[in-house]
Amino acid sequence: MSSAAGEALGFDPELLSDLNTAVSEACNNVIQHAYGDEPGPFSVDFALATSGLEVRIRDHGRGIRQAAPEHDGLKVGLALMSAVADRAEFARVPEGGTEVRLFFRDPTRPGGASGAPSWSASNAGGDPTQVWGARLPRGLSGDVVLTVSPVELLGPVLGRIGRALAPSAGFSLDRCADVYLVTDALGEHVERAAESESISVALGAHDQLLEFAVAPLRISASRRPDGAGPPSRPESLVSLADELTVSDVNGHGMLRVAMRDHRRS
Amino acid sequence: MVAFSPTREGSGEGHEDLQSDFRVETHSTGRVTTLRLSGELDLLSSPALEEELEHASGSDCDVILLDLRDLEFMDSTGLHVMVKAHQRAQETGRSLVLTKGGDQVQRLLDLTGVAELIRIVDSPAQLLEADQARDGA
Repeated sequence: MSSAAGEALGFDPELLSDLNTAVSEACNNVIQHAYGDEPGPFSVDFALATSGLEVRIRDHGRGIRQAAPEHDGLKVGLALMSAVADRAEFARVPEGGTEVRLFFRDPTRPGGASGAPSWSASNAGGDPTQVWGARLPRGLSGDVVLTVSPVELLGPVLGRIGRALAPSAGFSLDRCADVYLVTDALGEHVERAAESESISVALGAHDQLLEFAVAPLRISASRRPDGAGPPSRPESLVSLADELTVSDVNGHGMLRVAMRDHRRS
Repeated sequence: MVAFSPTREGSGEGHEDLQSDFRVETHSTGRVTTLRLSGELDLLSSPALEEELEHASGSDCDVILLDLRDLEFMDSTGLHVMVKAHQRAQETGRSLVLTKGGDQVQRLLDLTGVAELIRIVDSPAQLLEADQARDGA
């Protein structure tokens, strides 16, 4: 998985490793347990705090307390998340489902070396969907909606989430080797083309198809150099993706990249 | 013998993150069957390891060695496969041994207590030396 961008952003490599371990467990839990035998939608939000990183994973499934007694794997996953994060909370969502909140203290950041980890002031005590969900650009939907701030964090975390979803798409191990190529290229493109400090990715996984819809991007970043014709496509992704489209959604650029597993289709 | 090998080798030459595809290479020396794992062991790839362990447990080896030195990432599904293999090995009079993995893998083994449950050696050579010393004693 790519960690270069995260390290360039100043994050401790061990923190990024723990972050991916925890996110992998959280995604596995939702995919395997939250909706019974069927996969279901969930959201993952990453946000930079003064002293580290906050992650929230929310599903609308049957709730962690109902699934936990049946599955040793789930218990191990929860224990692992608690062990690698500096703070972990598992909360029931009032309208049904579970929200996992993880905090990773980064000793290299101001305030990260000491003191009790705490949730950022903007989210403390409030309804996270109202605060975080409001950032979700219109036009994005998928099985998983990932929101990342700052955008440089996307590359280090998108690959692991894409890979966690690949089994739901019915991807073979062979094709999964290419998921990181696409997500790393997406991360690099987003660093250049993001419209703001926050970026959202809707991931869809079904019928040997894994797709990523990324927004909001600067329209100007997708314009052809001569300013004429439809938006151009990021060349680094063209050779890797089976389908790639750039569109204008309510004045915001949206990039859609799809991978297929041709061996199985 | 190459037990499992992806077909998209070299699809991104020169890329530092290309070793994420999962592989198992199996070979037997004396009474030890070694499964050398590389790439990422997770929800997607764990069934492939389970299958290879099933084959290994059908052989007449005494020790199954999982060489984790090239394993880049493991999650709890991979861990679960290892714990099950350890239990099955004990039931059939064999033993499962691991080599130390990379930082993320080793952290997972330590945090979950699996490092206390399953014997871990630094390298396949160390296992061989330890066993030769024991046999010679």
